Amino acid sequence: MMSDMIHLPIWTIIAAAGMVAIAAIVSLLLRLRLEKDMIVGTLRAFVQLMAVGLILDWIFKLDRWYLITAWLLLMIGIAAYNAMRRQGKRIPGLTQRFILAIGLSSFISILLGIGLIIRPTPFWDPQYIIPIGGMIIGNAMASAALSVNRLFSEMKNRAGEIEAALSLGSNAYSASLPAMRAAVKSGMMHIISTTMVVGLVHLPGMMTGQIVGGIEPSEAVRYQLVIMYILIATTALSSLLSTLLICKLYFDERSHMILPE
Amino acid sequence: MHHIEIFKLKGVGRKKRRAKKDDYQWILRGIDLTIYAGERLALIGPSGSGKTTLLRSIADLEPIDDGEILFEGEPLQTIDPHEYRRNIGFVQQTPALFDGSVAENIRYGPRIFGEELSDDRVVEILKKVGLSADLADARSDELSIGQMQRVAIARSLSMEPNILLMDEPTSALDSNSANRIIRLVAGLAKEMELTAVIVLHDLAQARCGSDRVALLVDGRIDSVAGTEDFFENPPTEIAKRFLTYSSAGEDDV
Repeated sequence: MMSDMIHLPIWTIIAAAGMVAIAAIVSLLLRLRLEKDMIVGTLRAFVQLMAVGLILDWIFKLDRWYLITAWLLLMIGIAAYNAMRRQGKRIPGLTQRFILAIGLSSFISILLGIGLIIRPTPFWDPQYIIPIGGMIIGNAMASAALSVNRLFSEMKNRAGEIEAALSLGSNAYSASLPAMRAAVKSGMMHIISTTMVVGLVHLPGMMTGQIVGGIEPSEAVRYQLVIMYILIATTALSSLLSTLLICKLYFDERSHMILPE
Repeated sequence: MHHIEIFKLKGVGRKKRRAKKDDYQWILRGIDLTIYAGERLALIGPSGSGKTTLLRSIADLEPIDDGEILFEGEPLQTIDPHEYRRNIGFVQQTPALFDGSVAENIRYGPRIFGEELSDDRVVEILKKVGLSADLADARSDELSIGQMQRVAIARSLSMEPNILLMDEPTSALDSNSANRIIRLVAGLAKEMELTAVIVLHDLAQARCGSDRVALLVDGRIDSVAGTEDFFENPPTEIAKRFLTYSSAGEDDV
């Protein structure tokens, strides 16, 4: 199936990198001062992706379930670290909880989506589990980061209400319910709004890749739909889990609200 | 009636991280204070003296870092926090009502413990704080600030507390509604035999709204005295200066 795809020798990549010069000229003309970031970004992307390509080639060739699992776990770790980095207020325990929330929601999505719906044999066939698992983990990360960002700002804005509820005898979770609902909602919104316009404005990356790879568009669309539906569940799980786990961090054991300054 | 000890604070201290610095500052230091059943105690003092932090510690909305608080003889840490708070009314400086109707705000507390207040009971509680029955269905964000504060008081009364803690309940109000709230609280305290601890900034309000005052300065208790005594013969030099400067509109001792 790879036969009708153009192989890209290394000079094509260098030529494409040359197109970054157009962006650099715009930056220079308008004094946007983006040139440095652009050059660093261009080089970083090159090194990162080339390395990932080599590692994945190796993982695909060896085709061992434990190597594939290790790769997925590594991605979960990086995703959790990234979600933590995206928080304005960082408190101890944040990364561990993101690992748990992103890991569990991705695990459930992979199990149901790949294990029960796409059903490759074996289950851990890297051709499916690595790219699709990566999309699942990436979306779980985005939702977790968005939810927790929103959770913190809601808790801050609603601190008066939360304390009023606590002073009436409410526990930490029920006192924070309005803030938690807003947080979960904000983590789920992006994928739901994507489903509304998908295909009309732009073709999603996975579908684009399959079409370039020689798959018929009508077949690529099927994959895209299955993935998107799985991702809706992933974002819901990840938003919910991260909100539940991290909300608890804003209270001590006697339900005193302890928001970081 | 002033002999049953409700709260006994022994050497209570509270430290907080200083903004943008890596060290701590003691907001409260060595607070010894006994609060008796049925009294109305006013906590007064300059801004930043720790009045609000002290009240919030008693309400168990903030932890303490030193000493202990006894509630009816029991150390606070040994009492379930939710059971404790349910029995103590707390009124915030700025009323923070829940989204929804006035009636839902009043039903919120009892609902936590599985009790659904009847419409009649809601109206009865509203009347206690001087609000009319037809306000029950109003949305909480449609009220005036004075009405909001009354709803907040009503909300804390819905749990039928014996103790009411109030953090400058009048500071968000104009002086007219402030005085009405002070009179309302005085009336409620008498009628419901409440023990009331009120943080007050306004000395005239403290004088007419309390039986005893405690003056806090720099996180310590400077003096505690019967209200009339305190204002007629300030017990310490600092109290004397505080009364002079405060009545002149100054805020520093």
